[in-house]
Amino acid sequence: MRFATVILALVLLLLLLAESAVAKSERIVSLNLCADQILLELAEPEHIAALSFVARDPYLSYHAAEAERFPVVRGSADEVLLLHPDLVLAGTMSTRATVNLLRRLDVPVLELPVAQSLADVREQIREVGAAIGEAVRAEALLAALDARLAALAPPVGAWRPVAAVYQTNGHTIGAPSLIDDLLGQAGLINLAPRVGLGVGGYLSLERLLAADPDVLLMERYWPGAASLGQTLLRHPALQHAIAQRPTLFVPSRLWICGGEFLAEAVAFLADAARAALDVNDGEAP
Amino acid sequence: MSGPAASASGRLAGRSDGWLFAGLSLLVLVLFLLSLGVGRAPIPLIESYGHLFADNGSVLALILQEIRLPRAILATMIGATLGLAGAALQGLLRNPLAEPSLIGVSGSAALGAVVMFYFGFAAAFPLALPLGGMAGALVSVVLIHLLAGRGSSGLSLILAGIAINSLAAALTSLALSLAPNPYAAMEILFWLLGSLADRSFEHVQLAAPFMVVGWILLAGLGRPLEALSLGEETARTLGVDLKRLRLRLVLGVALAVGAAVSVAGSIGFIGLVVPHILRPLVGHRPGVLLPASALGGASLTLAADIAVRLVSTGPELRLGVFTALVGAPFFLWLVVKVRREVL
Repeated sequence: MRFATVILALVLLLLLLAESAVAKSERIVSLNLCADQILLELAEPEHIAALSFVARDPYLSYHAAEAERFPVVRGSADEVLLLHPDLVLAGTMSTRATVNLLRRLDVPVLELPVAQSLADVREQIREVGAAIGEAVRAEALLAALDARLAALAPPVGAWRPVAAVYQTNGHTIGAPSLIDDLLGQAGLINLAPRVGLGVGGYLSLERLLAADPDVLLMERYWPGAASLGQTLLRHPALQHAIAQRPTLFVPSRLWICGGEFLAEAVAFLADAARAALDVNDGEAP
Repeated sequence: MSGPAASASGRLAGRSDGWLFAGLSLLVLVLFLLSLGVGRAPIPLIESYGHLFADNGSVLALILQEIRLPRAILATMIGATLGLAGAALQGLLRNPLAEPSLIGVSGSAALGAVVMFYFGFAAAFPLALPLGGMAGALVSVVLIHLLAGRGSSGLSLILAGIAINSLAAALTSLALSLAPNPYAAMEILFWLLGSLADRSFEHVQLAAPFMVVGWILLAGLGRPLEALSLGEETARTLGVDLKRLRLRLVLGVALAVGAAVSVAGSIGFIGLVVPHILRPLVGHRPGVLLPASALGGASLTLAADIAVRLVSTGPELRLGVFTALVGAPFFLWLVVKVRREVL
């Protein structure tokens, strides 16, 4: 035990030494919601020059309240350049023109692909930690995440309940994806790949009803704004589907990006699994 | 026309009209029943009709009663509206290219509905949705009539239509990007290309009464349109009140098309294709063409809505995509034909 502690202390010391050799980034700009989350968990506040504007959206951003303290950018090259960043974090799906321009002007850019699993999230946290000179904090964050995940005991029944993810406008999430991985961690089976929807897509009401999932996971995003998606929620067939099984509204901010809060997401989903098992007394329906 | 020859031809036409209407009605009925049998849930066709009347609250009954039935009803009513409106507009403007979506009526209706919907008026007062659609449609029909009415060339009609369409599409995009809604950019597809996926009886209730009133306004216009096809002067000497005819037709088209678009988005080309296929069969008589186009429009829309469900394996194809794939080549052919006849 003592030996292990000594080893750990040595490793940490080495990491600290290595880190002091690497200059920390001091003007970091993020153009991506998921990079925002990792930055807010790892970086010194004074090193964050700006976050993406989505970081303040309370429905999508777990750290929305903290993001209020920082300037935000919409992602155009000119506003980013005016901030004189020494590191720009971007997603691989959007702000392509901006990223290309920044590269041409020799601004260091770290691109983060969409995380498709918890393993991807771990890798990204390490990658960002290394890039901004906070490798120690990254390891500590991952250790905390792992400890919280290990403390959760996903329900064990004779069967695993099937969960249908039904987002606004009828979109669903397939596999491989972070959400699919989280469902698995919580002891659930994702419906979308089972009904032939590969990476996701549109789950028509008819298909949802016919598939008869054990639990329905919905999202409530901007419930105040009028949209076709909100109208769809009033559809009698969907209301019936909701009444027939445990239905939970998952806060989107919990599961679209990576961070320590993923433990909270898995806990939430494990509750959903437990609710489905309770309805059926642990017996396969 | 007088004498035995005329009455004989009249009888002949009457009899063949009877067959035509019987055939078209049968077609609508068959397609309506087929539409109820098609969907993502694998239910055998014959079995599905049993679930339509089942009172057991089962999942299959729910699928038939709350998802497929309103969808088939909307396809029938909206198709009839578009066919009828196309035939009526072609009669009024005496131009074979007139069609609700081509001359911007559907686009303007979508704009009206979008404004009512995304800025929360429809949430506070549901009727605001069809009212917005009808107001948008009315403005564009009046505009088209002012810009390209009174026997002007096909070219000026189409140019006016392009102008109104572009303006309506631009304003729709503007309204959607100003609206406080994160999905507006995605949902614009619905308004521009139309769809009947996952509609409910709520939409039938909102739109059906206005569509029916529009049909009633348009139904009696066969005879005056027949007189108008001989020219305005002749129509006047035959005792047709042209002002009244225009007013009734414009209102009828605005009510029916505006209500249809406000629940299903803009579905193109139905009103163009149907009257053209039927015109040779009814012998250029608007009195017969109007009801025949209504039935034909219902058939074509039902068929297109069945097709989008059968062909799409991934996300469902938008209904407007399908009607444009069929309608746009037809439109091109028509343009060539009209040009040949005029020159």
